[in-house]
Amino acid sequence: MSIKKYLVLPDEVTDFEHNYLKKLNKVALYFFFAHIPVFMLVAWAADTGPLSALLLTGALLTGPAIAQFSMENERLKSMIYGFTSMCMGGLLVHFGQGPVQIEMHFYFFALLAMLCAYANPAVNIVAAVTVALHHLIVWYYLPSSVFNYDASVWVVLVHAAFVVLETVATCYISRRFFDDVIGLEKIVQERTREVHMILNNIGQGFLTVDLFGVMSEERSSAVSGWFGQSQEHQTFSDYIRPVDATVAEYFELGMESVQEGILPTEVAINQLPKRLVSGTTILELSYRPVENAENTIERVLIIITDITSQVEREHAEAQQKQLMDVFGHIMRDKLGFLEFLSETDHLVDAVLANQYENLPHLKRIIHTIKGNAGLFGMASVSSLCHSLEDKIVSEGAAPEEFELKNLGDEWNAVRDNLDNLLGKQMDKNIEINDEDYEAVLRALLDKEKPEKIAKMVQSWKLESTKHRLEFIKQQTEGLAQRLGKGNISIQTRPHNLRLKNEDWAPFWSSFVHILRNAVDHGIEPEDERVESGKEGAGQIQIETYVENNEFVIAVEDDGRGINWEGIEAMAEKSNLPHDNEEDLFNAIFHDGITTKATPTQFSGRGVGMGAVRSECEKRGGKIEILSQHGKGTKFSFRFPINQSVYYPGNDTIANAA
Amino acid sequence: MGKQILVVDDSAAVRQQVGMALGHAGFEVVEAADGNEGVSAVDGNPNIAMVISDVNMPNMNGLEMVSAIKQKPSHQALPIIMLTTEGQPALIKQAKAAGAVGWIVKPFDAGQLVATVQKLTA
Repeated sequence: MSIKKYLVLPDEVTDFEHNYLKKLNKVALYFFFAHIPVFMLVAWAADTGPLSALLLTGALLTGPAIAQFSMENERLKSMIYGFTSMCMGGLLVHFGQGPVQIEMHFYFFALLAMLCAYANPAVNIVAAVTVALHHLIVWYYLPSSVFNYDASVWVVLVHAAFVVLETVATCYISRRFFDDVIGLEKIVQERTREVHMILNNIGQGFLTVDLFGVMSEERSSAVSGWFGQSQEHQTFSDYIRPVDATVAEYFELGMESVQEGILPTEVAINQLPKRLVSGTTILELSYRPVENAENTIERVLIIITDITSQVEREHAEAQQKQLMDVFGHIMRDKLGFLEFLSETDHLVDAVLANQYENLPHLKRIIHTIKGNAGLFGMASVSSLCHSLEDKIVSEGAAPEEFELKNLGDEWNAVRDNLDNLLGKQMDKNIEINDEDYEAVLRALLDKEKPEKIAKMVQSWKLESTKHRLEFIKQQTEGLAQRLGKGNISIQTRPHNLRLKNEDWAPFWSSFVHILRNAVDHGIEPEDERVESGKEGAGQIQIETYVENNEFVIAVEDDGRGINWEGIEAMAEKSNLPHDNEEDLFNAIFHDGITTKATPTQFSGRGVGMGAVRSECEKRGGKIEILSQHGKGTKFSFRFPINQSVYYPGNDTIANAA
Repeated sequence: MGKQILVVDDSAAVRQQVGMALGHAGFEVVEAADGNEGVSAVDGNPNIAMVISDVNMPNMNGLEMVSAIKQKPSHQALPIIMLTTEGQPALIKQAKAAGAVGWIVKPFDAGQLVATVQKLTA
């Protein structure tokens, strides 16, 4: 640093310095006016004229007095006091003529030191120059005003040496004082500015609230970006209320709990709301207690983070993974998958268009979507449905419109992904197996009637139950794995039947509930089975056949049988008739009946069975249940044979067109 | 013997979870599966130092249970906290009005639950 830069302060005067100098200048004025009586006393004692002491000192002090009230620049004022102080020293030496006149010089050096309080080397220099000129001039023209003896120029130079050396020291002290104390304000300001710059340029919102939830003024700009300008002394809950009234209220309750201090502070803070959604922005809220020296909580720091993109990314990753799962299902069973897609399209549409009869119906629809989506690996759709169902159960009311819309959006997102992945390959193809092919070939070679051959070919468009049962088998095995039921042995006996897919798809999709129940409730855990002398792996048989001119779909398991007492108890609790077998039979198919304590993602809410029954009855079918305690259960669905069913030897081949 | 804490929840899994957390911290846990059982447990056992209860339960829910317990003058000082799911301010208000001292959101942090029980039974 050059000497000039060292002696001259930087231009900028901070508020802090300005206020400090202003105070000091005022004190200096009073201080110097207080000298007047002292000088008069000295003048009286030294017989140098108290009146002239009054007049001269008064005249000298008019300058700083005028400056004090007319000038704005406190630094300039302080230089005037640097000048004034030396003049005051000169007056004291002048009026103190006599034996102690030399001792009066002490005052110069005392004043020179005091001027360091201004923290400005320029003031010290002004004072030094003033005293030097004063001495030289007065010594020359009026020596008696300075010395009580005939001092030589050398004496004057000794005085000057004192002044110069002291001034070197005072300049150093003043500058250090400025840099280390007065100038600190500027450093603090710069740091604050930097901190603000950081606060204003990061995505996070920071603010603090007191224990009543009232916000401090200091906060990062992201906060007002999300929530707008706040009013003075506004509470955080009032501030966010327009965005989400529930979260606001929740926050208020949480702060009340923090303030009450009944729960441990960290626990109470941990109950504050953690998420806030503003439009499309998802905000995560986290909290830190701000404690005072006694370790009691004084304020709460709220940190708000925009996690929209993070959530979106996680969502995208989950969808990607889900797509892989779904793809696996498509590879295994394209037809079943297409059916699932179109059925779920309808169900989702029905939910979105509020096309449901009542709350149990809505619950049943959502339950069906959940079950199917779960089976086809669409975890995101399935878990959304699960939480909707939870909500219906716990609140006894339909979910909010936006929650249902979320389900629609999720479903469409999954569908869009699928369409992109599969393109137009999803168009239906006709699949025929060797057996069908051989049969037609033989019929041609045997020169069978063209009508008969036409019907055989026509039947290809119908879905073979072999195919369908195989698919259900795979689904059920997957389900058993997921439910931790281990391996289940499933036999299928399709008896070469074919069904018109459009007519039977809804039935099949509700039919899986029967298998779900069999796996989840019917089949016992392996150790229990072995104990009661059964094979470790549960046995399930699924069959389609024609008997007594009826088309039959049957499922038989070798599990524990239906818990009729449990059904009766549940029926009683749900105020359903439960007096005879027929009542209990009806209760099984009543929505809301379950003997299972905790619903899983797959079954156990007692919905589903109602859907099976209604699908069965829509096709003119009836249900038979054969259940033996400890031995197993058989469900048979018996339908009148009609156009939609084809079996070898059946002449009423469906019109598949 | 440690202090007895009553845990009321229809989910055995939650009861077990709470029981394990508190058991490790030296508390003795008494379980009840619904509000009715909760009320009888409190009435029949003067050693219960605190109650932790779910809200949604069959037969008698948590709110009804808190009211029933707090009706008796002898239970005025018994601290009750609720286990709730996040974001149900209306429910919390009702619980506090009924006499619960606070709530903890599920899923809870075991350490925080223990700290709460320690503070409330101190």
